Formats: sequence, structure tokens, C-alpha cells
Amino acid sequence: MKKSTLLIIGFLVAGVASTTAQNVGDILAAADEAFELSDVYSRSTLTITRNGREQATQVMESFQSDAADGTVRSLSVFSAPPRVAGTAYLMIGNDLWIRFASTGRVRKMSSSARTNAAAGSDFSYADMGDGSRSFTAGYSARLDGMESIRGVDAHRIVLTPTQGDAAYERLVAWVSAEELIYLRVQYWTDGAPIKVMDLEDYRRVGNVHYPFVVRMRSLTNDSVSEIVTQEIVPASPRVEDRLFSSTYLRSLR
Amino acid sequence: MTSQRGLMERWARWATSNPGRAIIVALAITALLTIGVARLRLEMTFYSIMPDSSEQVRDLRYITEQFPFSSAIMAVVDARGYEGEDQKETIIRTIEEIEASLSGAAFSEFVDVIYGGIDPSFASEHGLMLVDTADMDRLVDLYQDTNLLGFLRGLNVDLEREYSGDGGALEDDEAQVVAWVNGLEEILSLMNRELEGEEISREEVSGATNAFLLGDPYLLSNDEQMGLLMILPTYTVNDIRPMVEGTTAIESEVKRIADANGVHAGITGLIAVGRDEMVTSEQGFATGMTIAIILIIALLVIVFRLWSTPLIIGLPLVIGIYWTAGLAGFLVSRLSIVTAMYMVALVGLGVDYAIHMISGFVQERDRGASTVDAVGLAFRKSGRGIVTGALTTAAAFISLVVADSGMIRELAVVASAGILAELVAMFLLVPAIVGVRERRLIRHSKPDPLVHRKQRIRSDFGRRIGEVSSRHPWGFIAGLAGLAVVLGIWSPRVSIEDNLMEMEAEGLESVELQDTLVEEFGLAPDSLFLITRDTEDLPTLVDDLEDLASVRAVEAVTTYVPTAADQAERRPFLEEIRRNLSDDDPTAVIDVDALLEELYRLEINLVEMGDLSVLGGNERLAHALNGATGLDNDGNKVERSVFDRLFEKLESEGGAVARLAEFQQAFSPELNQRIFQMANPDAVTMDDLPRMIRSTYQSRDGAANLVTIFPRQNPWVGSYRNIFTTQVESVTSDATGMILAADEMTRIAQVDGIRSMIAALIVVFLILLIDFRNLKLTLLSFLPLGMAFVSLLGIMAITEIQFDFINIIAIPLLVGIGIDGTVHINHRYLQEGRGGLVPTLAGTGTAILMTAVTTMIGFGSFIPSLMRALRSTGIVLTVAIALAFAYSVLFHPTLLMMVNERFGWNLKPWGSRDAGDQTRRVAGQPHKTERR
Repeated sequence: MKKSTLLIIGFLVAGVASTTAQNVGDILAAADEAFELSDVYSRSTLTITRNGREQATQVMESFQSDAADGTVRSLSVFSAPPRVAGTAYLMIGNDLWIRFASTGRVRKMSSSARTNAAAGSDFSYADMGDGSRSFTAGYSARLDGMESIRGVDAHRIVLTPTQGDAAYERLVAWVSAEELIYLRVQYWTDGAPIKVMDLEDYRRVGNVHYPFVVRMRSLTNDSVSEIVTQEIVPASPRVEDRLFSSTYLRSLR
Repeated sequence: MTSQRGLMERWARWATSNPGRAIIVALAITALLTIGVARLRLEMTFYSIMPDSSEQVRDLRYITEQFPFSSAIMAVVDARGYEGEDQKETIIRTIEEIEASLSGAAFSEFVDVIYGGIDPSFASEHGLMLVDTADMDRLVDLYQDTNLLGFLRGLNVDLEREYSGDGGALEDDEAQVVAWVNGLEEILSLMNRELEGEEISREEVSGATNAFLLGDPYLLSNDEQMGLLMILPTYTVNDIRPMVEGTTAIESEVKRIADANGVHAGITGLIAVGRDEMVTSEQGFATGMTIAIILIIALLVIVFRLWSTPLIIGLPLVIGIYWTAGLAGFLVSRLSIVTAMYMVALVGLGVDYAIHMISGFVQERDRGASTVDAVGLAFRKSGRGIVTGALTTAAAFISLVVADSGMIRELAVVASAGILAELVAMFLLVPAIVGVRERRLIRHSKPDPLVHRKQRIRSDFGRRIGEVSSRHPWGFIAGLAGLAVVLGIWSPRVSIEDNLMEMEAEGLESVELQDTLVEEFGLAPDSLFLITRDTEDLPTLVDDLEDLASVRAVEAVTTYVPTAADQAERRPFLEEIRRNLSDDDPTAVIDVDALLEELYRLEINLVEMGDLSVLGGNERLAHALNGATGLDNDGNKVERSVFDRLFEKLESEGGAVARLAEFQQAFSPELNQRIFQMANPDAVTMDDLPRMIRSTYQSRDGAANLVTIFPRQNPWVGSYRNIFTTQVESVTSDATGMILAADEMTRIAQVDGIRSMIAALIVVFLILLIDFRNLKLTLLSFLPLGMAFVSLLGIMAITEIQFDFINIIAIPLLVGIGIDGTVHINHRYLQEGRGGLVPTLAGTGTAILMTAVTTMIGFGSFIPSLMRALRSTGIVLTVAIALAFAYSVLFHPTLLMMVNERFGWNLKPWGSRDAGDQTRRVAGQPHKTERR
């Protein structure tokens, strides 16, 4: 056998060994970096297609910032469609409030509502990370081989909850082998997948790659919800602490 | 063997000379088998071929028999194209007219009972006993005070506690909230009319209160543009003939009444789909058989140039099919989709025997033999081959009885009986009809055109193939083997169609309405079911099932008759509600400001709920809430709502207090009395249930209860079915339903397809081994078959044609039919010997081509069928026969030549004398024949 051939095989073996040796925790940590932007202002659209019929696109501004104790906080204010323009959702950790633009009232939602659909979409509040920055917080992970997702080689990672009250009995995440970004996350309950989230159109934002298109497809309802980020600004001066309180929510006009 | 030939020849000569007697024998057989035909039932529904060996199928059959409501006909009244203002009223009027008409004597033969709406009497008596124990506290708070102010305050508290900001809870309780909103709007409208000085009747107050407490009695779609009726027929899906006649009569009446009201209507449900399967199958088979007979006879007239072909071949062919039907009547009593399909295919198979007989007859007449001699010689030369071929095919078919499913076992019996019936019909009638023809020619003093024209059957096709392949043997072998390998690489990608609805006829209204039911009514006709004997554990089971993401709702008898334990738990709450109500007399004075405050609060609650409903896409609820608040989906004020009118009156008029008190005197006692009645703490028993509910959930014999698990989507669509069934199985393994039964049928058909193929291969192998008495030749004979099989899979994968539980019968049929050409070539090559490739193909190629073409016409006649399962079966079997022909004629003879003449393989039968001498000796004869 030629020396050059041996060298090539040697490189290939080394590459494979390096990949398999990669710790699943490291892979997830790298993938989670996309969501570790701080003081983020963003503007995005949410389009829901149900039974093949596309509903009016919802436009929202979002503000995200961690509290001093690390609690994740976010405020989303809708500007369209007209019915919900001015309606806002405030999430602080696992607590949720809604402000109705039509009546100006603010309501705190029950804790059980975290598994409910967010803004009527296929995303639940739990899908947003159960009050943390990671899809996978609260789950233990194991590598389950490689698969191609949209033509990209990806680690298939199976995540099982470490606590009994998890919203899902299992998650399956596909993280690209090269860029270490989430490509797809599948949500399981009662032995079957019920939703699939695809993360696409990654672009560099600050120091991370951020998915500008996130699409959640319900496997139990004929429904797809797509969030398209129009603008995202990390460390934005528009994100202020005062935004993340029910008092501010009440003051919205 | 000589005696056998002699027997066949003697028979042929006798039948030709004594056609009348032969025809009498045939008529006697026909008369006898007519009894079998009379016994034959047509059961061409997918349901009828479900495998009885499956427990799920047995449960499904039990449910069909014992819970007839589970397969009720659903009539959908569709007013989406209606242009008048009174859309909802028109739907209700249509529903009532259909209900009245189908309840009449004219339909008593077909309709047991029809429900255009829900009987409110049971809910009026026991409604609150049916509320979850967990919600009993809510009820106590909600119904503490039936005065206007107290009622509105209690309602606001409840709405804010349960639904404010919680779109999920709104979605879960959509039907309840819609009833509340519509009823509330009616109550507030009455209040407004009272304030305007109108007289309000007691009936109007009672109607509004009923609407609030019990909801709309009609089954309306989310946007109230469609309505639904449930029709319980006097027959089940097992009663085929009434199912077709009755369902068609019901459908016609439903459509007639709908048309008269300017709306559309259609029917669906297991029975309606079964009727459509039956009708489209019958039409498909009738069309298929007509096409097959016409094409085959036309082909034979062209090839033989004999105008009497339709009589000589067509009549025995049709009589053979009739006999097969008679035998099927005696042996299996029915024709299913699969066996009926085979009957059509039999046109293409049965005609093969006649082709061999008439080919021989025409050739002998060419040579100048008399009619009787020509028939005798034709039978002498081809009789043994025909009988051996028929027995081989029949044996291959009968070996299918090893299958698990009754569907395949019935096919085994009917298919083998059909082959033998066609064989006997041809042997009896072809010589007899030739004899009749001869007598007519003599009587009319006409010359026989066959002798006159000296028409010869051309053999150019086979000869040319033989010449080319003998010049380029490796090219032929490598090319065809390469093709098989390439297609074989694709073959693992062939998939299984497990969606029954994809096998139905395209564009069937009964199938399309299933999607409408899911989208517009939130109902899926193909739910899953559970049969239970015990009700104590049912509430837990129902709760567990309702928690599944793929389940829309679960209904069980305990929804209407709670367990004794649940009733005992709920009783104190109901007694408390009654106690509160008994002290609750209408107040004489109403605090208008407080009432206004509660009305404003109520409007705000309804607007916020409307926001959530629009956001969440809960169309029915959004429609009701927008109607009550005067908003459109964008939140614009588009009309004055009942709230606006009330605010105007209450804020501006001084006399409101008196008129409100008057309204309260009418409304509050009515509300009080109705709630008091609904809070009945007495035990609810099965005897209290209305018939519609009892027959839905309790078996006819009272021994079992039914749990219905409604899916969120049409369960036949995409991957949802697996999710639905997997999640249900995570709770219980005892569920059944059409979707699980169809899965089971697909699974069994796959196993049966392979098992039947192996059995057929073994039987054919043994027959060929006995026939050829040479292992190498026997094994070589299977090579074209294997290549055809692999290529078929590859073509199916490339063209995305899927196997299903109907077309999978192509696998065993291919073994039984596809090997014929190879066998004929083997026999001829052994006769021709070394160097005999060209005469082998010249002598057999045309006949094999013709029999392949006629068989392909038989199977191909399914292709125009509306039913997709028949269409795909037609395509698969036609391609399979074409491939078997191609590899038999193009690949196999060349391979035989190479292994025998290049590599010296010994292909002679065991125990035969000097092979070389024998082949040379035998080889000489056909060459002479060819030259002659």
C-alpha cells in the first residue's frame, strides 16, 4: 500500500476518533451557545398554518434579559394583527403574565399553562426552554449515532428528563457535526413524537450563530408555526430591567 | 404417456364428431353449478376481507354487530355555498326534514332510527351529575345565586378563574363555552327587549335558559355552516345487499331534500364507504371483464383470422368463468374483492388453453387434415402440455391455502378451481364447437376458409429473437442480468401502502367527507374503540387516554353514567347546589350600577376570550364570541352588540329598574328550576339513558361497554396514525378500529405473501422436478422468475408503486403463472437438442407471447378501475407478467444454450438413455416440421 494512502486513512481514522470522543455535553453546550446572547432585542413574525390555511401573521417585538440571579426573563409585545396589537406576554422563569390590548387587563397565568400553546401557536412555553436558555436543560443526553438532516451530517442526541415533572418524556436533538448548531429537535410524549422543530437560516449574531427561521410542526394536529426573525440586536440598550415586571405590563398602552 | 395421448385424442375426435352430446354434458355441468352460482354472495368491501385470525378484527366485528351506532351513517348538510341570510336556519330546516322523511314508513325497511340532534331530556334531568368531580366546586360557586346580578357575578368569576389568559383551557372546553356564549347572548337579548318594553314569553325565557345550560341541540360545524345527522340503519356493514340498496336509497333522499333547500348533502361512515367500495368494485370488475373479453377475442380474431373465434374460444371461456363462480359458491360461498379480481384475470388465463388448441388445429388444417383429424392431432400434440401446465398452475394456487388470512385461502380455492374449470370447459367445448362449425359449413356447402386460405401462424418473432441471441449470447445474458441487478438495487426501496383510504376509489364523496368531519366538526369517523366489561376503572382509563396529545376526546358510558363511587362523591355537591337554590327567591330590587359593572366585566371577559380564540384558531368559539361582542377577527367593532344596546338603555333610562325586576321575575325562577332539576342527586342508571346514547355505549346484549377514542386528525393521514395508535397502546393494548384492523391486515398480507410464495415455489419446484427429472434444469427454470420478481420490485420502487394487501397477491400469482413460458421453452429445447435455440424460440415464442399478452390483458383490465387498489394490482400484475415473459424468452433460452452447449451441463432427465443420441433424434423432427 502506498504511503500516501496510509496517510489518508490515518487522517480519516483520527478524524472519526476525534468525533466519537467528542463529549455529548460539549456538543450540546456548543449548540446552546446560539441562545446565550444577553440583553437581546428582536423583531420577528409568527405565522401559523392550520389545516392548510395560513392565518394572519403575528408581528412581535421581544426583549430578553437574565435577572441578576440568572432567571431568564422575556417580554413579547405584539404589533399585528390588529386584534392582538399591544397584547404582551411576560415570562419570568416559570411565571407567565398576559396583557390584553383589547381590554388593557393583565392576567397571571396558572403554572399549568406552561405546557399550553404560546400565542395560539405550536410552540408551548415549555418549548421555549422551561425558563432556561437551553432546549435541553433538565435532560440527560446520550449520543445515538449520526444522521443527515437537510443534507447536513448531524449528531443524533437522545435526551431523557432528569426530573419527573418534565413536559416531555424524551427529546431527540440533531446537532450538526461540523458547526455544532441545532438543526432539529423532536418532542416525545407517551411513546411517540408529537412535535418537530426545525432551526434554519443560521446567521452570525455577535459571537454566535443564531437561527433566523424556527419552524414547529405538530405531528398530532395539522398545524405548523414558523417564527422568522427580522432583526436581532444583542446587548441592546432597549432592553431595560424595568420591562420585566407586571407593573410595566400594566403601563403598556 | 401414449395411452394418455390416445385418451385425449379420442376424446377430441368424439366431441368434434358428436358436438351435441358434448354440449349436453357441458349443459348438465352448467345446470349443476348454477346452484353454486345461486349460493354465491358478492362481498366486495375491505371490511369483508379482514382476517378473522386477528383479535382486533374479531373485536371490530363484535363492535359492528353489538354497537351498531359505531358504524352509523353520517349525513353532512353543507350550506357553505348557500347565499341566503338564513344559513343556519336552512341547515336546521334541512336536518329536520331529513329526520322526518327517513323516520317515515317509506324508509322503515332501511332506517332504524335517525338523530338530527341531541335529546336534551337526559341532560335536563342529570346534567350536573355528569360534571367532573374536580369541577364540582366551580358549579357550587357558579350556581349559588340565580338572581340576574348574582348569576352574572358568578359567571364572571368562573370565566376569569378558568379561561382568562388560558387558550388551552378554552380549547379543551370549546363546546361548553360556545353553548354558554350563545345562550348568554339569547338571555341578554331578552333582557334588552324587556328594557325596550316588549313582552317576553315564558317559552322564550325557557329557550334561552336551555340554550345556556344545554347548548345547541343540533350537531353543527365550527362555523355553523354545516350540520350533521346520525342515521342508524337496520343493517350492518356485513349485510351486503341491504347495505347497497338501503344506503343508496338513504343517500338519494338526503340529497333530494338538501337540493330542495338549496344546500348540499352527502353521507359517510363505515357503511357508506363500504357501499362505495362495493359499487366501485362491481363497476370496475364489470368494466374489466368486458374490456378483457373484447380485447382478447379481438386479438385472437386478428391472429387466427377466424371470425368464429368468439364462439369457439369466447363461449367456453365465459362458461368456464361461470363454472368457476358456481364452484366458488359451493366452496367459499362468496366473492371478495380479491377472488372477484381473479375471476376477471381468469379471462386472460383460461384463454391460454384455447390458444394452444386452436393453434394446433389451425396448423393441422393448414397441412390439409380434416376437421376431426386436425382437432385430434392438435389434442395429441398439445393436450399433455396443456394439462400439465394447468395442473402446475392449479397446484401452485392451491398451495396458497397455507396462508393465515381467509382472503388468500379463498383465493387459493377459487383460483385453482377456476383453472381446472377453464381446462374442462375448453376440453369439452372447443372440439364440440369446432364440430358444430364443420357441420354448418357442410350444411351450407361452404368451403372451410382455413383450408382455402392456407393461413399460417407466423413464427418470425421467436425466430428473430433466437437468431440474434444465438449470435450474441453473452450480450443477451449480460444485458438482461445487468438489468435485473440494476433494478434489484432499487428493489429494497419498495414500500408498503398501509393507508386504506389510499386504496379506495379516487374522489369518493364518502371518503372526502371524512376530512370534512375532522376539519369542520372535530370528528373522525374512524376512531379507536375499546370493549370493557367493567366500568369501575373506566374513569381512570378515560382520563389517561384524554391526556394523550394525539387524542381529541374520549367517550365512554361513564361519561353519561358515572361510576357508583363518582356519583357518591358528586352527590354532596349537587345537594349543596339544590340547598342554595331552594333559598334563592328573586329579589324585588336590582342594583343597576352593580349590574352594569358585571355586564362590563362580562363583555371584557368575552373580548379577551375572543382574543385568545382568534390567536388560537378556535374558529367556532371565535365566531360565537365575536358575535356576542360585535367584533370581527381583527378586533374592529363591526356591529352593535347586545352589550352596547344594554349599556345604552341601562345608562340612560330611569325606568330600567322596574323592567329589570320584571325580567328577573321571569328569568330567575326558570334558571333556578332548570339548575335544580339538573342537580338531581339521584343515582343515574343505564335505564335513564336515551336510546341513542345507550346503543352507542352499551352492547345489544348489555354485556359489554364501548369506549370511543377520537383522534385529533383524520387517522388515515400520514404518520399521524402511528403516533395515535402508539400513544393509545401506551395506555391500553386492547384498542381496535378500522385503522388497527387495516394495519393487521397489511401485516398478515405481508407474511402471507411471503409464505404463499414459498409454498408456491416448493410445489412448482416439485412438479418441475418430476416433469423434467433434472435438478439443474429445474433450478435454472426459476432464474427468470427470480429476475422478474426482483425487477418488479425495482420498477415498483422507481415508479413509487407500493405494495398493499390486495396487490401483494401478485407475488404468489407470479410464481404460478410466470413460470409457464420457461417450462414450454424447456420442453421444446429438450426436443430440439443442441443447436436448437432458434427452432425452440420459433416454435414457442409466438405462443408464449400470445399467452403473455392475453394474461396481461386480463390483469391490465383492472387499470381503468376507479378503485386505486384494483388499479395498482392491475399495473403490478401486468408488469410482472411482462417481465416474466421477457426473461423467459430473451434470457432463459440463451442461458440454456450456453450451459448445455458451451459448458456441457447435462439437462437430460434422470434415467433417460444416451442423451446425445436422444436429443439429436428428437431434434430432427421439429426441424422437419418447421420446413414443412
